[in-house]
Amino acid sequence: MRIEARGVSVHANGVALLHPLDLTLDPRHLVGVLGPNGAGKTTLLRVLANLQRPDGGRVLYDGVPASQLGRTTLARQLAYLAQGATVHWPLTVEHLVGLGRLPYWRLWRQDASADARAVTAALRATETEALRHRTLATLSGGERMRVLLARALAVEAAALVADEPIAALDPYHQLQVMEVLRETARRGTLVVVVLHDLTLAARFCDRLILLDAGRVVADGVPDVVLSATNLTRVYRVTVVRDTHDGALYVVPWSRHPGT
Amino acid sequence: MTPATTTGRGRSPRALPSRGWLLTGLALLVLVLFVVSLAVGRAPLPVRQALDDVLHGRTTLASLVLLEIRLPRALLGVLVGMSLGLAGAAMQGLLRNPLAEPGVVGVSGGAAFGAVLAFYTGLSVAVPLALPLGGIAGALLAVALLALLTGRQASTLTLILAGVALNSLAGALTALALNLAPNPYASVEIIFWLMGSLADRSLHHVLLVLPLMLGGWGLLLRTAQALDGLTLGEDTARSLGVRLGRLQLQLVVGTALAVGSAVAVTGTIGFVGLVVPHLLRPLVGYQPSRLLLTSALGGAALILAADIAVRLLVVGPELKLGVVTALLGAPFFLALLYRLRREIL
Repeated sequence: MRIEARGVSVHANGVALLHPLDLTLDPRHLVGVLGPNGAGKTTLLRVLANLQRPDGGRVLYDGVPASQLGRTTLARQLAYLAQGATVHWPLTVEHLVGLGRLPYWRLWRQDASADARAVTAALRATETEALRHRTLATLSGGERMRVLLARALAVEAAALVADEPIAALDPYHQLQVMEVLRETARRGTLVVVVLHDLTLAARFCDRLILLDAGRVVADGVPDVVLSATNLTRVYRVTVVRDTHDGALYVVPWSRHPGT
Repeated sequence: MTPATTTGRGRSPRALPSRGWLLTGLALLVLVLFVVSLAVGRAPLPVRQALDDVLHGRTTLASLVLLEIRLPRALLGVLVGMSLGLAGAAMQGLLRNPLAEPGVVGVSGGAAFGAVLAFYTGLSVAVPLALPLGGIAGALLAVALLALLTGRQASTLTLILAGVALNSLAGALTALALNLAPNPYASVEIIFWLMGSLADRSLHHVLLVLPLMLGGWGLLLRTAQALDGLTLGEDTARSLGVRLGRLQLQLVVGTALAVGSAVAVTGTIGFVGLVVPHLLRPLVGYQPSRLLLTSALGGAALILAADIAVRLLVVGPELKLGVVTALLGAPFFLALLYRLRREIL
């Protein structure tokens, strides 16, 4: 799915959270959204996922606004993975992942075999098949996040919007989740993900959008966006930048003096 | 976290009864209790002969007792129990809190006040069905106020706080009515009515509340999938196509119709909507959607059983059903809280 933001702006209590911005996000891309705390990343994601109405401008999904698309159609085409998502009842992993099929239900389940296939595929993609009958309360933080990702994958949407899916994970599982997201994008899905890890963003994303104070500061391939100048200006840190196995890595090294 | 620290929660779903068996079992239990409820009472009733008389259209004392006294009581037990259990399960699903109950949004309080007002003004003497009608009017008024207080896109917290405010208002007005009651007899009558009972209700009561309850149940049962979605939080639920505003409206109006009319004919019967969903939730794998019908049948079974117990326990004047459910429910719930406090906090 192609998501277009046209002149989208958001403000709250007279403060601009997002200044008018234009973005076109293409299918088959893993797009990373970067920026310091309070830059407007989550706001942008919520607007793109139609969870928040922008105060100006509009968002188009394959050229069609959400109001014309209809809530159910959009729910089938766009999956949202919330930040630090909580689950309120101790459901089994299987039932939880199955909730990703809700957009396909009418008053009751329509196509049980399609639902079962999607759930199994999502569990396999996130390597959580063995957890199928466990309840969420018994899982580790990393397992939980993968299960929640599986829930989002089970929607089999054309676009996946994920807010900091690797923030609480150890390095092994961070790499694993990034691999799953890249795989998902390779299969034709648009994946938009908020990240804080600059190196993982550089290695896995096809395109990065750097936000600061509600404005797009840089937008393009990782090598260009993650320039020392950009990072110093936006994050107020000096970074160590080098390549390893031909891939860029970026390590924040010290706070930038005088900012 | 190891499975050992969360026994009961980490249980394999294979150990759970299948959906069909659970519902069939509960329905059979309700049926058995319904029949027992017809057979049990202060006055001895030859049930077989009474049934025979009814079937042959003979009007005898036995057939009158069965049709006019026992049948309405058992039917109301089923209807009220289902309403309380269903609304409790739905409300806990909406608020994602096992401590929620239909009373939370102020519907029970509003219904109680409406009925008390009918008492107080003497309307209940002049018009036979003034009491239940007053109760339903009170419930609907509470819902209207709730809608006014919370607006269209209310957060769950706003809903709870508005419910608390409405309950205090209804409680204060009820107390005022008691305070200003023209004579001690009226006060006592109001207090007894508030305690909740199924005794001395007629088929008119049943027919009055039946359509309202059916409407309420329909609305509540339709929230099943949205409640499942809400397990993942409001944002994720919305991304799955759940309309939160519509869900809240369905739930609040459904509760007003089902519980409002229940309170209006029986007075306040507490804890059923709280304890029943809580008890049955593990049996449906904690799925809010599956809990709805299960909890409705569980509520009916509990009310019927408690109402049978009320008639079997002979201790001076007949105990009020609401008193018994509160006496059983409150300690049970305290024990439950004590056991679950670590998981809840």
